[in-house]
Order: sequence, then C-alpha cells, then structure tokens
Amino acid sequence: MRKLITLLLLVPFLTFGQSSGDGLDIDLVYKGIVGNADQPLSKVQVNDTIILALKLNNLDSIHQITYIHTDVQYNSAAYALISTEWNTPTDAQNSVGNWSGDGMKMVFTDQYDKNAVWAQWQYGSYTGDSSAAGWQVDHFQSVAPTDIGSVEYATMKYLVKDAGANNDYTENIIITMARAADNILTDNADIDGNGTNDEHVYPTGKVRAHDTQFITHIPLEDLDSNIYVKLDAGGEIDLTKIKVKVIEDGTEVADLAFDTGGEVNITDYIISSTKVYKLQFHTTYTEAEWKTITENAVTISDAVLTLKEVGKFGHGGSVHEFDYGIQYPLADTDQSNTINPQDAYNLLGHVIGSFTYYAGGSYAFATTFPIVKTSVGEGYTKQNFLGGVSLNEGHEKTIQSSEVTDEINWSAANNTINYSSAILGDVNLSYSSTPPSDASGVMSISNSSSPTQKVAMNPLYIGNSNRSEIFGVGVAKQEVNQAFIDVNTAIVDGEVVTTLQLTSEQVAGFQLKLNYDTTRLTFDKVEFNTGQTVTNFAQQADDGRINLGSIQQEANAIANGSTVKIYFTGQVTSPVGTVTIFNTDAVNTEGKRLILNLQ
Amino acid sequence: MKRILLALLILTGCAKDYSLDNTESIIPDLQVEGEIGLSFYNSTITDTDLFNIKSPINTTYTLEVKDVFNNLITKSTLKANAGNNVYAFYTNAFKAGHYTISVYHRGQLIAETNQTIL
Repeated sequence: MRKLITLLLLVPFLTFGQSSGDGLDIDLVYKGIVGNADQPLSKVQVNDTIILALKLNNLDSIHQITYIHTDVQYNSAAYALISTEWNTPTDAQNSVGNWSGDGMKMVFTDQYDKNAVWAQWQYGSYTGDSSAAGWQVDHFQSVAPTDIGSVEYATMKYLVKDAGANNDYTENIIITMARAADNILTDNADIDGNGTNDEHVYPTGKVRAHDTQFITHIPLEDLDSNIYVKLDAGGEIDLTKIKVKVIEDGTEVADLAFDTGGEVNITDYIISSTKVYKLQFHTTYTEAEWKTITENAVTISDAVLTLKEVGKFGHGGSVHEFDYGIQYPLADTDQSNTINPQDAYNLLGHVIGSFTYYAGGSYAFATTFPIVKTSVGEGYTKQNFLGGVSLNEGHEKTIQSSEVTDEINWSAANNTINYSSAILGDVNLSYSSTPPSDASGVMSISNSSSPTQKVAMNPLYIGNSNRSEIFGVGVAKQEVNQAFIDVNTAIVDGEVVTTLQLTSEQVAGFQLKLNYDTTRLTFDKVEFNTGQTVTNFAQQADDGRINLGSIQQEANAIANGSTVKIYFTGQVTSPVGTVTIFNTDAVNTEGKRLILNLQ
Repeated sequence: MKRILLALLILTGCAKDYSLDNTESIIPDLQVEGEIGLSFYNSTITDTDLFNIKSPINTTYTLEVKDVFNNLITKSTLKANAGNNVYAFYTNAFKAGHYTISVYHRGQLIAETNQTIL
C-alpha cells in the first residue's frame, strides 16, 4: 500500500518529468499562420506562412539568462525560413546563423534524453551524409547585458512548401541543441576559487526542449476557395435544427448546424481537390417534433389540390392545377409516376389520420424530407416527372469525386452549394421551397397557391369588423383567400362543448387541430352538421390532440353556417383554457389554399 | 392560504357553470376598480390560477385568448352575475408564451390584458 501511495504522490512529478527541475525549458510554440493566428496546425496549407517561437521558461530562481542559443533543424524541402523577430533586452546582440547550408542533420546521442538539448549539444553530433540531404540547422542566439527572462525570445516565420507526396514530414522542424548561461557574476559563485565569480552555465540535463520539441505536419493543398452549403427549407422549419456532416473518403470530419439563414461554412473541412467528399443531412428535431411538422405540412388543402389535379392530369400535360413541376413527385404518394385518385386518397387518409402513406409508415426525417439540388428542383418539369427523371432526393450528396467535378470550382473565391427541400405530401409547398417565378420548372400560374402571396382583398372587406357578414352576402367572394370559423367553448349541461361554425362561402374543406386539457377532460364525441355530401373526420392522436375537419370531395362548397361540436366530460369549473386550437387549414372550391381564421 | 383553498376547490370540482364564488372575501387580490373589469393576480398565469370579471349586471361575457401573432387560440363563453365573478384559468392546453386576453360583452371590448402563460 505504501508503494502505491508513494507512486500516486509521484504522479504529478512524473507528469512533468520532461522539464528540468531547476534549469530551463525551451518550448517550440506554434502561433498560427500569417493572417490567422487561430489557424490550427492541422489546417496549414502549402504556401501558408507559419509562425513559430522559441519560448524560454527559466525554472532556476537564482540565475538569470543572459546568453541563449538554440539550434533549430528543418527540412528545407518542406519549409523555408523567411524572417526572425527578437524579443530581448535593449542592447542585446541577436543573430541567426546557419551552420552549413543544405545538408546537415542531427544525430542524437542515446546517452541522454532526446530533449535534453544542452546534453545533446555536448554529446550528440551532426552528420552530412546522404541522410542529411535537404536538412538545415539554424542557430538562434542572443547575448544580453540583463536577464532575457521567460519570454518568447525569437519568433520565426517559415513558408510552407510542397515537398511532394513521398516526403516524410516527421519532425520536420525540431529543436536539436541549446545552451544557456548567466553572465551576471553577482548571481554566481566562484567555482574555480580564483577569487572571482564565474559564468553559470545551465547544467547538463537541465536544459530541455519542453513542452514541444518538434512539429510534424503534412501540409494541405493550397486551396483558397470558401465553400458554403445553403439549404432552403421553407419558413416553417427551424434551420438551426438541421445539420450536415462532411464525409471525407468515408470518414466523418465535421458535423455542422445551419445558421438561421440556412447556411453553413464547410471550407475548413474540404481540404483536398482529389479526395471524395460527401454531405449527409440530418436533424436534431426529436421524432415527435418532426412528426408534428409533417402533420402540419400535409393538410386538407394538399389533398384537395391533388384531387383537382387528378381531374386534369394526363391531358397531354397542357391542363393542370399544379404550378410547379416539383409538386408532382410530392403528390405522387403511391410512387406510380402518375397523379391518380390513389394519391389524393392517400393524402386524405393521412390528413384524417387513418393511415400514413410514408414508407414503412414512418415519419422519419430521412424519408419524409427530400433534399434536392436547387437547380434541379427549380428546373424539374411535369415532363420530367412523367419521364421518371430522378430528383436525387436522398440526404447523402456527393460534392466531389472522380465523377462529381462540377460542384466546387477551385478557382472561384466562393462556392455556394444550394439545396432545396420539401416535405412529402406538401403539395401546396406550404412547408417547402418554392421555386422562383422565372424557374424553368414553373408552369403557367393563374392564381397563387402560396399563403405568402395573398390575393388582394376586396376594399369593402378591409377594415370591416364584421367579416362574417361581408362574406355571408358574398361581397368578397371573387377575391377571397381567407376563410373564417367562429369558435366558442362553453360548459353546457355539465359538459365542455367547443362549437365551430363556418362563416365563409366557397370553402370546400377545412381542418383544425385541437388541444384540450387531458388531465381534466375526456374526449366524448364530435357532432358534424355539414350537410349530406360532405365527408367529415375526427381522429384523436396518441397525445390527446383531436384532428378534425370536413371536405367536400367534389370540391363544391360546404354550406356557410355549418357547425361542428366537440364534447368533453370532466372536472372543470370554467371553460377557460380547457380547449385550444393550434393549427388550421382550409381550401376553396378551386383547390386553392385558404388562410383559415378563427374568430 | 386563500389561493390554496381555492385551488383545492377547483381540483375537487366538477364541470359546472361557472364562477367559484361571488363573495367579496375571497378576492382581495383580484379587486376591480369601478363597476366592470378584469383582474388577474399578476402578469403570469399558471394552471388553475383565478381571475375576476366584475360585472354590473347578470349577463354573459366572451373571453378571447390570442397569441403574439394575433391568432385566436381559444374563446369561451362565461356567465356572470352582478358583482365579482371568479373563474379558474386552465393552462395545460396552451404552449407556454405571451398571450393577450380580452373580455367582450355583446361584441364590445370591456377589458384586455397581456399575460404570460407558464
């Protein structure tokens, strides 16, 4: 046990065993490159200029350093010394000497540690044989009238060169030897007994190259292009929760989150013009969060819009409801390369909550969130869809390989690789990238399906507080892009009852999602009073939310004044806050999405 | 202590219409100046917190809750008697955030307050 305790007590000293207890440490400090002090050594490229310093750490509390020289050996095929700056006392004599030019290399003695550089000075040697070809040794010396101190006494700049693929970069810059002395005689003793104090030379074995004696680095290619990845995901998705991994020759080298603008800088990780680089998209959304996004994205207006397209699809491609080619693969839920009734019913089933058409019934981010090159998505046409042209929707993208050579232009200062995304089934692109109006994949657009591009409201409507009456008499019917539902929750005969009443014309379908206080209430039933030809649905999700709505599948209008009542039983003393509505959607008889307002 | 007693009353209550009590003694923190108005304890609401609608007559009020984007989140009908009417506010169906709570009488706004629902 005593041995163990003793060993444990010694651990801290063993840890620092490379430094000299009462001597001097000389540290070869990497200080970045010219223009970027924070550049890690691992990212240094050919033609960068690295900055190194010789840092002294005087561990002797009695003696000062008035003389220091350090020999630094380097491979001249890989580096070239450009300059040296000094940080020494006034009147110090500083010099850089080169021992012998090209062709000199240290032979370390094995009698002392390799980093015991004063001992190596005395007992090591240099060789000029063939193994020394391309090696040089510089001698950084300072002689000062006062203490040089524990400072970076010499700072050197080396140009990084391309030494070729076969060069061995091991220890390409290394401290080989050093000598330090104190010539301030009042510090010293009279060693030889001649009545005069003598120079103090820091002892053999007490001058160490520590913490760092050498650097070993294979410089990267001289690539100066900035490379960015940009993702357009539609405004409803938090892009900071989307991440991209950078894969180099099959190995992950970075995992980066997009900023709020959907951009990420991958410059630091694309370090070769010859390696294979891939991007892998993934998310930090939880499965539940992502499922909610997909549910919110695919709504009744997508189903109705697809129903409308079904009625026109296949007429030589000249008649259509969709505005963009990219909508076709999003609507093709049965992956048949046609838009058919099954696609519309799949979407409707998804909206109602009776089933999901997603592959394997999974709401996984990887399979519900197609990501395509923006140029491909914007140029995608209905004819492309009919012809089975692939969009390459997967989450792994090769951006450089022997086959992929046009993603990165190494001669350009900046490269931005643009991607667009969508959610499968989001046919009206409410949660997806929308191509610009001049994109080649855009078909004739007679009326926008995007809620962000509202049709102008009738002036009679604007500012009128009694909106339902305006719509009730149809004043704004031709220009309506909004619909209204009156909502109210009350306690009726001991039950909590939420009543919804449609107060708009020309509404072919609507959908709402209700939250209720599941700790106090129990969902009882829904009563629809929407007419004989309307399909109604109400589905309770696992988390208690109620997804309900009505759709006129022939795209006729649901009668203005139609009502839906949702009943709950439970323990409450007031209706306030017991039921909330958090997501709504509606579609008009033309298959266009409406902004559904509660009132 | 009064808040605790009221909370217990709420927790043990059943669905009934509406205000807990009409006595002045239980609402010193929910006083409303004047004949008509709305009062909460403070600017935050937690589950089952109480609020008071003071009414000059026996009537019905509509309470609306809108989010920061002015979207209506919920609307309730509340019967009130003349005087103070204390109700419970349930928050489990809300996302935490800032909301505007408005009380209307026959379409006319009578009181409005900004609240944080926790």
